[in-house]
Amino acid sequence: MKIDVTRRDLLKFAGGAAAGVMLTPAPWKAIDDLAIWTQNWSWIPVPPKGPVTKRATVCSLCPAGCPVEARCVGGLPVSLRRLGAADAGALCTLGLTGHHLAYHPARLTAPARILHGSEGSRRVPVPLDTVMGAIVREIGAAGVDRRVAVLDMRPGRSVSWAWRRLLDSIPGGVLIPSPAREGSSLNALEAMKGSGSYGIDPGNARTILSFGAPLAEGWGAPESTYRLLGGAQRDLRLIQVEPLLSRTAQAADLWLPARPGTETALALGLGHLLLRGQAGAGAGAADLEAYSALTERFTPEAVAALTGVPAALLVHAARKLIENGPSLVIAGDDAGTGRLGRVCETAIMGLNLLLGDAGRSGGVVARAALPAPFETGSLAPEVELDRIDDRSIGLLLIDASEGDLPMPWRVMQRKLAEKAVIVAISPYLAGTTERADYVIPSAAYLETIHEMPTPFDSPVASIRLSAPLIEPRVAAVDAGEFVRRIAAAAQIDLPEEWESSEWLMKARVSRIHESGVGNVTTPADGAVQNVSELSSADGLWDALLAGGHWQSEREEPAASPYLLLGGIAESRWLAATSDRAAQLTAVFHVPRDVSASAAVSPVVTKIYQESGLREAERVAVNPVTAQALGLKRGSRAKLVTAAAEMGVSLVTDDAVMPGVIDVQPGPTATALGVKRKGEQHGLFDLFAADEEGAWRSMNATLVEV
Amino acid sequence: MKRTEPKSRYGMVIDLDRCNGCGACSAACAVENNIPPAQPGVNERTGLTSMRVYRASNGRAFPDHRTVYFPVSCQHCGEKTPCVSVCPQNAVDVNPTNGVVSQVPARCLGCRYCMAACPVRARYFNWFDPEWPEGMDRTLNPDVSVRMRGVAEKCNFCHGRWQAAQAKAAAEGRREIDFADYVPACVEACPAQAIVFGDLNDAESEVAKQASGSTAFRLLERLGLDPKVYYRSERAWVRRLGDTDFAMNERQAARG
Repeated sequence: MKIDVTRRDLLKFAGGAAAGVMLTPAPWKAIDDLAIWTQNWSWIPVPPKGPVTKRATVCSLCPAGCPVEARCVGGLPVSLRRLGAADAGALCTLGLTGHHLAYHPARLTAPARILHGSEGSRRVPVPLDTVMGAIVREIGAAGVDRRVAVLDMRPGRSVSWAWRRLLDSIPGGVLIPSPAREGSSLNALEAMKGSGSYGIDPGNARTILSFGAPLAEGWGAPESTYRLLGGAQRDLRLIQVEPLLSRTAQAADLWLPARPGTETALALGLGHLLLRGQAGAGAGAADLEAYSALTERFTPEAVAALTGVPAALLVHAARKLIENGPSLVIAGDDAGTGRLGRVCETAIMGLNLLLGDAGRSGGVVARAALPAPFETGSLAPEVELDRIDDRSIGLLLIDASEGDLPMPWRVMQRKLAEKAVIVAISPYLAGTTERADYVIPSAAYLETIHEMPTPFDSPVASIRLSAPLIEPRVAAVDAGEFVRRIAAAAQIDLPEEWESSEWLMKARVSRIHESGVGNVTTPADGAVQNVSELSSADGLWDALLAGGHWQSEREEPAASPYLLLGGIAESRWLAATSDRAAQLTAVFHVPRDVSASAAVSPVVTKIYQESGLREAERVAVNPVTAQALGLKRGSRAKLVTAAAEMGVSLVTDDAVMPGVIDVQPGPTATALGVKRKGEQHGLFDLFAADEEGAWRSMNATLVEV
Repeated sequence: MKRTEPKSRYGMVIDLDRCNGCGACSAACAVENNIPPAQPGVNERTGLTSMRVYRASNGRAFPDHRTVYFPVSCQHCGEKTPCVSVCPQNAVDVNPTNGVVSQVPARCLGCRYCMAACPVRARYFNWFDPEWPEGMDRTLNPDVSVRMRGVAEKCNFCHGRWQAAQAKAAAEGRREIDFADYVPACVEACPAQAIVFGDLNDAESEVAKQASGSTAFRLLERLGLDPKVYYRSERAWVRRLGDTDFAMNERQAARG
């Protein structure tokens, strides 16, 4: 039989076959496989494989020193979490992404010369000897009018003592604790008490009056944040003084929106109320009469007129401080945002003394100093930056090896002599380090042992060690060893024979062990062991390297009389409380969590770039202010302060007080390690320190461009 | 075909009175799930944030203005899950044992129907190849594979952690996981412990108790999708915000 296959038959067969195939899994499988194949290209990163282990260490990215458990794969950390009880809080954003920092694109890999030009800076690798030569030349030219200074970003470490020993042998040598660090307002208390060392005890306070400190934004230990934001019982009450509804003010029980620059008047107004409402207030003050006379005119009504805070709110706040004690009053000397100024800090610390909480649990407490790593002989002084003469520093060594704290560079710049040489030792070319002429790489977090001396918000002396979990990725220079090398190059004979920072830390731990004072807590299980029970200093060292936390015992406060006015001349008090109302005031606000760090994990773009949660450069005004200035949301404007002027994109926000410009820098593009549209912002440059060493607010103008 | 009711309903309750918008949950989610950092030019529309925090307010003027932060991830809808019903590739999977809605990137074709269908806009698209700075790929989580450009993704309640908890339970001869072993990254990272996670079907669990409280609510409840992410607040004005399209508000705000 002959079968005729026509063209029509062929077409029908082909059509039927095509339709039939669609009813089989084949095409769908092909699509599936195609999808899988196209997801497995060679350039797609493959997560590491290996045995999973857990290791304990301590976060060294801020002074809080949180105990950390690292989940490691093949020995490398892939995630971090806070060790310890649930009510101790959790790691901040900076801390939980800290294992990324060793790989940060801004890592310094070798000593370099930074050539600053009008079109940005350029990095040129140089041998370490070249840097050393520049340092030695400046040391040779040192004197009282051309000082050698070390800007210590993390004062109190063992290596800080080594710096001071070296500087003592150099004419005019001085160690400057970073003015951007937290807790510097406690210096005011030391001046008021005449002697001794003090700390604060927020962990036991029931009420905290905070003058702008970002308690809920990464300030201090995370326990405070946890208690504030609703621990099991939420037993902490917060009164926040701030001209904008920050995340902390939002969490506060009482928000006192005071005009910027009027904090001193507000503190004296509260002092006025405490003197009259608290039995025995100020009884130990040698200058009670003068204080009483000064605060006489700061009645609630007068303060309300100056600050904008209703008189009834002030009275309510004072009553809460008295009734819901122990109460603690803290000045907002937070990282980046900076201090409130010496006079204001004295007025604020005076409230603690009036409340009678000095020395009491939950208030301001006397605190022993950590033992030095060696016998303290002659040491260079530790001097606050605002006490340094302008244009007097010829060589500035920035020790940012354990964490840089960005600050308005103008604050430091005015202290530098002509053609001053700046050398920075840091893991990253970011933040303050970018201003240096020479940079030297140091080890990043988790690459070496970092020392965490007493945090500013600890009521007792303490020490923690951050154990290394990864091999250093660069040939890092150790700060302790660097001090020794400078001494050798400058032919300075140092009495001690330390070799490295680790040597210094071990020496300090050994002295703690010798004293037999205090105890070590293991964060994983909360076990406490007395130092006196440890047979050797090595045992204490090992316990600390395993994540242990050494704490001293509580100190008894000296019952010496104190000066509520801190011996500050009346003219300065009057100047600080005068009505300096300006049409517009720019207020600087840098939350501690990621904004106040020179380098952060690139995944922080989730917060600053990939969502609208926070702006990388926030310049916000109240809609009422914007309308008065003829500006709209999103419009380009020129923000002018006495320090600088720059073009900004304006945001309107009802959370900002009318008449205030909220300036909040997020992490810079360099800090994030990613290239972002536009270059590094200069919001920090808009601010400069006033005569009291504060840079939190400045009079400003805003015009549309 | 009618979906069988899962034995467990994994879900979470987010206490908005505790959340202060720190963003730790977003960062922890990125670390846990190998979500790469943003590339140049990426914005809130093209970014990858399986857990995104939105800021909202009571709309009043200073000084009566108050803000609230809404962490929004996939809501793990229980009924008529929109992303499941529109996916032509069966790349969205509802776990029959616990109701968790997961994305299977290997099946995804990148049509983005699911993104269009999601009422809370909690699905994101990989517009770029995943890239980390040199060396940082050594910090990636081995329990989560890296997704290629061209696929959608979303929160899956940290599936890798669930698998690890299951493996542990199996090794110990248990049929049920212990929730102490299964804590999603955002829950673990929250410094205020504002997020509670667990089985909503377990009446004795903290999550079930909080979810059934009078101050609990869900996003876009009027759509009847039975999401398994609850929010709670003592403030009535915050609860009223549950009907808000936060993502759209944010985009409009970004456009000025």
